[in-house]
Amino acid sequence: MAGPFLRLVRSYEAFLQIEFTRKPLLGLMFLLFLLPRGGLLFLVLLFFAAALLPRDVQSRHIGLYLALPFTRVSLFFFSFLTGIFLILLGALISGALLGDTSWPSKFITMGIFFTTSFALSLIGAAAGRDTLTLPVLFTFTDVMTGAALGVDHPFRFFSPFYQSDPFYAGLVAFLLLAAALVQYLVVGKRL
Amino acid sequence: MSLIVERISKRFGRKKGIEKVSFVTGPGEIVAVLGPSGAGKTTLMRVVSGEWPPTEGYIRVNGAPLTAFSRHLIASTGDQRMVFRGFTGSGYHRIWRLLYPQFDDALFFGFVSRFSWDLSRRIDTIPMGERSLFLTLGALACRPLLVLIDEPFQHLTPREREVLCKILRSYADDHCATVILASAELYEQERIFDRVIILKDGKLLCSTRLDEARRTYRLVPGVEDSGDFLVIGPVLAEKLVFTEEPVGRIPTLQEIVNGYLNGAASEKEGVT
Repeated sequence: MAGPFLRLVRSYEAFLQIEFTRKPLLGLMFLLFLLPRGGLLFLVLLFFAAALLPRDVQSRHIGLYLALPFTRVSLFFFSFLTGIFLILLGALISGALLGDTSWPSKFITMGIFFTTSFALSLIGAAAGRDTLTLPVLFTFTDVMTGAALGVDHPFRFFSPFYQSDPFYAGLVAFLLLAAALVQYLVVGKRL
Repeated sequence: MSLIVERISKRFGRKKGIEKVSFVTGPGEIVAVLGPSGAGKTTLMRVVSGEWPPTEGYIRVNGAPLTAFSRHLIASTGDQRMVFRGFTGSGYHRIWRLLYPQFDDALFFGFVSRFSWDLSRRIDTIPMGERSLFLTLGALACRPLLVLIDEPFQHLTPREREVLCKILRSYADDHCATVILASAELYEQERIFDRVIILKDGKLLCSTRLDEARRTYRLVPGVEDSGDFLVIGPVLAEKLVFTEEPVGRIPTLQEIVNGYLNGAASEKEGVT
């Protein structure tokens, strides 16, 4: 009989098989991760984050996973980690293809923005709303506020879009992710 | 496999799903969960399968609490027979093998050849009856100790129902597994059940072994003085009573269920 770790690995493998069969668009989005840093890349990340777990919560397809030996918590981490792995792979490949040695910083930038979008999209979906409104509104407000306050304003340190200080921006992203996990577990149980 | 369900409730915000439901099942038992639409059958199945955590109460499988690491001992098939889009029979086979370490290939391929399934076909495109059978028998090939099937016979032909009954009976006997089937209508398959659970409005009305029920319930004419019998409820012109005395006649499963449901309805309306 397989031990708990091996069972977890097999569970993740099953999750990946289901995810990539059901959502072939994820592969196309992955190709767009090769784009250089900029607004278009952030837009792709926003849609990518919404297409993962938040979409299944919103469409209530999460029940299909839960009928198998997945748990809500495992689905949350599997989905988030899949996003992070694909972003890492995208940053690595684009670094190798374009000879860009700054790929680790591209990965961090993308990772922080993805984490924020994933969290907000999940909060929206678990509250019974759509997956895009909340992250789009948040990003729009973030961009406008950062632009209005100016380049040196401390707001940009915490902004997941501007990321003047990746540590603080990362902190904001992870706080939002924690809030999303709580919302998904507590409110999402009713779905 | 033994299953203990102790005072479990499931609420959705203010809405009640099931309330303080308790029952015990033993190894090799086939259990019928019966009740009208909205009785809480599907909610009960989802809570027992671990899909939905209970709001209160607990579930023990073989004496241990139900956790993420014991969920591979449980396989369930939902009432809607929803499937992952784009998945073929082979795709499902792969997923089951990954998620259930004890998956039984011999049993699965036995079903494949018996029902002539084409594993390269997409499951979301095959007829509902075939899909239902594929998901139900696939769940059995996962070799679970607890099998939960919501609306097991819907979309099946009488012949398929008959075959499924035999397979479920032999699976429960061979693997000492508990099989729980939920539906509003399971009376045709009465002979395969060992236990019956009756729900109404989210509450448990009765949980009993069927052989015991046949010994302790009687249908007596409605006009007859109930005397010392405990009256459960009316069934057309008769009354379902609880007694070990050999009066009246032995009720069918449907009559036991109707007696309980009618009794609960009369109680609600304040009729005695």
